[in-house]
Amino acid sequence: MACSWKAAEKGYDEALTGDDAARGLYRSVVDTLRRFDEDDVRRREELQEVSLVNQGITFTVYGEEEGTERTFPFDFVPRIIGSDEWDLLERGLIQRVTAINLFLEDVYGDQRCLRENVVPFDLVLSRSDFRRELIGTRPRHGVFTHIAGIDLLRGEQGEFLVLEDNCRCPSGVSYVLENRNLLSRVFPEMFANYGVRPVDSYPQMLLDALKFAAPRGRERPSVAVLTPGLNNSAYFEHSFLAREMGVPLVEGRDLIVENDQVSMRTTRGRQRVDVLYRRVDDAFLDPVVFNAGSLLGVPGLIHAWRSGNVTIANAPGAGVADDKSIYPWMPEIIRFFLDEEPLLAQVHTYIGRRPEDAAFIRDNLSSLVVKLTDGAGGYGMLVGPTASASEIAEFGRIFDAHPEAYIAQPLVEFSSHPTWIENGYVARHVDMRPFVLYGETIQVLPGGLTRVALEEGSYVVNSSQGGGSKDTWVLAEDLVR
Amino acid sequence: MSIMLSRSAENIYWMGRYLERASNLCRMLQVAEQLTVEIRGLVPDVAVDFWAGFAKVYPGSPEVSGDVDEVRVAGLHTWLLGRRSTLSVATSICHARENALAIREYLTREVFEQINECWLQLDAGVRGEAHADALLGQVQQAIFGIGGTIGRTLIRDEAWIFLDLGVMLERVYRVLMLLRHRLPQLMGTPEDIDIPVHHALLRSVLRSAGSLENYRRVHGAAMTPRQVWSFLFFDPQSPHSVAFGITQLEEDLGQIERGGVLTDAARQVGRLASQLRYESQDLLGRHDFATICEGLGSDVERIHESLTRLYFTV
Repeated sequence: MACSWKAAEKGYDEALTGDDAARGLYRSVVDTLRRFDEDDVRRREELQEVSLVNQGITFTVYGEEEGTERTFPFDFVPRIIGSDEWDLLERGLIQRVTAINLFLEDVYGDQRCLRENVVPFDLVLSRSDFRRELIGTRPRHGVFTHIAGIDLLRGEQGEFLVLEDNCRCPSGVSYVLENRNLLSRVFPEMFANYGVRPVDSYPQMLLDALKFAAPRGRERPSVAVLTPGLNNSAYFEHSFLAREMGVPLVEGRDLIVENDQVSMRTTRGRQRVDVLYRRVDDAFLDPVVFNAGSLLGVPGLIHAWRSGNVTIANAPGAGVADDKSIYPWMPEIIRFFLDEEPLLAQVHTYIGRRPEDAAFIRDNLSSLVVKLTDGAGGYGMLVGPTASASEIAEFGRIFDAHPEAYIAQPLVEFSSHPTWIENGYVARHVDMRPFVLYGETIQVLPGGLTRVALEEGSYVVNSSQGGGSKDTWVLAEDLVR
Repeated sequence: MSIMLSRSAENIYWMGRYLERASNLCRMLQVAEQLTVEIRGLVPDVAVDFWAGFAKVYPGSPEVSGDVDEVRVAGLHTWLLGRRSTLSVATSICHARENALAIREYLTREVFEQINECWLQLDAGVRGEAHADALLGQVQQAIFGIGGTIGRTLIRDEAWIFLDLGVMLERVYRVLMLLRHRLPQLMGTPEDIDIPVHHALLRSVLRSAGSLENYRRVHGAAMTPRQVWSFLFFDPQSPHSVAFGITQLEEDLGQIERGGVLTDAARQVGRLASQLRYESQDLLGRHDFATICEGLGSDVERIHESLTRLYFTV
């Protein structure tokens, strides 16, 4: 029996029009999938699941039994973005990442944007991710954020909006590559009429960017990926990137700092490390400077970095740029540093540290999405319109204790995408995280992690909260062959 | 990747040891199953003793007792799926998988997948979703698959050497323990046991060491305990003999010597290799067979300690 297709009842549907017909770019994919009956699809879906399980493409879920591994659910209906639209996005992302880096260089340097009140001085200095210890530090080429993941969603008119910036250790790129690999094996027919831009050059692009950031005078720099270890939720990705780049995956205990030089403990003695692609949070990087109890970090690492003997990517302190309470100032930051209008719009945001905004948030919890300013992964947030009265009341009590720790945004009825659920294609909300690399030039991977909220009506797309992912196709040309 | 982290070297070494241990255990379980079918009608006590002997070959694992059916069921469950036992196939593959996860960047996708699939099969058994009888054959096939995939896909770099060191050290040690605990009682004249059963037990020793067919290629059908001992100790070409394993260890260590300086581990292995090469007649003439195996077993343990000191705790 052929499977049904149902367009979104609210908001923008990425693939279907109001009468459930396919939009232009999606016609061939929808036609191809219409040829499969339920049994065909189930068989392939099982193959897909077995493939993920056997390959161990999993993430660790916190808060459950220790070491619980789960696959990240994959939905095989690809998200498609045309080349013209991607060109616009790419320009907007490059502009934004350029401005973010100039902002970081400034707040740890001259602090011109603070003195000229582009961003409030006390706001920046009070952020937990602003590292006073690093004032006066300028990384090689002035780049703090070598790898950025910018979360986007589409508004009700189909326009892309920036939801948040991820400037510390953005994760998910391994799924971008694995999703493509999986889809091309399980549903090769879907690719037949499309010129889909490949994503598998990412490891090479990343390695090039990391090598470019190496300390001066290191002609053949040695690069390593620093992971907190096997129990970290993103360990699969850390290991994947190390393997794909052909570099060692190190833990803090593998490293030692002597005379401000960082070395790895190897079978042939200690070997110098020039660039660390760290996937460890700032607080745990160096127990001498940050969290003294950290067993994940390396004593003396920050001093070695400040001495210019090792590059840490992303640089310590970069997290201040993606703090959710800095986000509302991003358009001003872009104007100030680049003297340009922002190419990408963003969502209006209320800031809990402003008394008038805090009062508004408190009075409108049921219609707002409220988030911790330094939160991630969907933890500690309230989606007011879908929360129960008791959840809202409970959240209100938590909010009242520390309103300054929150921001709030109106719920954007963001776009939906056909997603295979049980026996048909139904609309589910999606966002997208493209990855931007800052090396010799700024490059955007032509694709991204499309995350999908698998529950009907849900707006929470995080993997840790029951979200799934899709392959994201960026077309080389808009015309389907 | 030319640089090998000490922690990675240790993980890949232990991955080799655990895979080899799982392979040995699987093979021994298959042998015990076949032997039980073969002799239970004639000498059920001997079959029971054979199962109970696992605890000696794999010291530290729990003992099983009861009649032949009870020890068979308990033994199969303990050494195939045992959770608490550190020496079951399931725990060995679980540990090998943990090691593989820690060094995934050194493995090919195929190798990791094979180990992961094997673990998933065993995990289903541990959770009671698959029966031990049916699993044993599948898991043994899966372990063969892992070995084949490793051989066909892994690059022969330093990681390969540490993997091989783990495999060989575990193999040599387990063959020594097998001989130590299975062969002495077969050395005397079998007065209270008939010849076919005696031969069945000798064959089971060779099979447990994965060497029955290789033995026959060298010695034909003739089979005495001394010949079995000599073959499993000194044959230079059989991959499960002690001599073969020690030679392999010698070659591996030669490739990773530090700046041409003879390391403790290389010196210890060299001494063992010389002993097996030049003192074989003396060893064969001795009657304190168990002492010889125990002495060599201790030497192997010391080699492991030297490797740990030299390469894993830099």
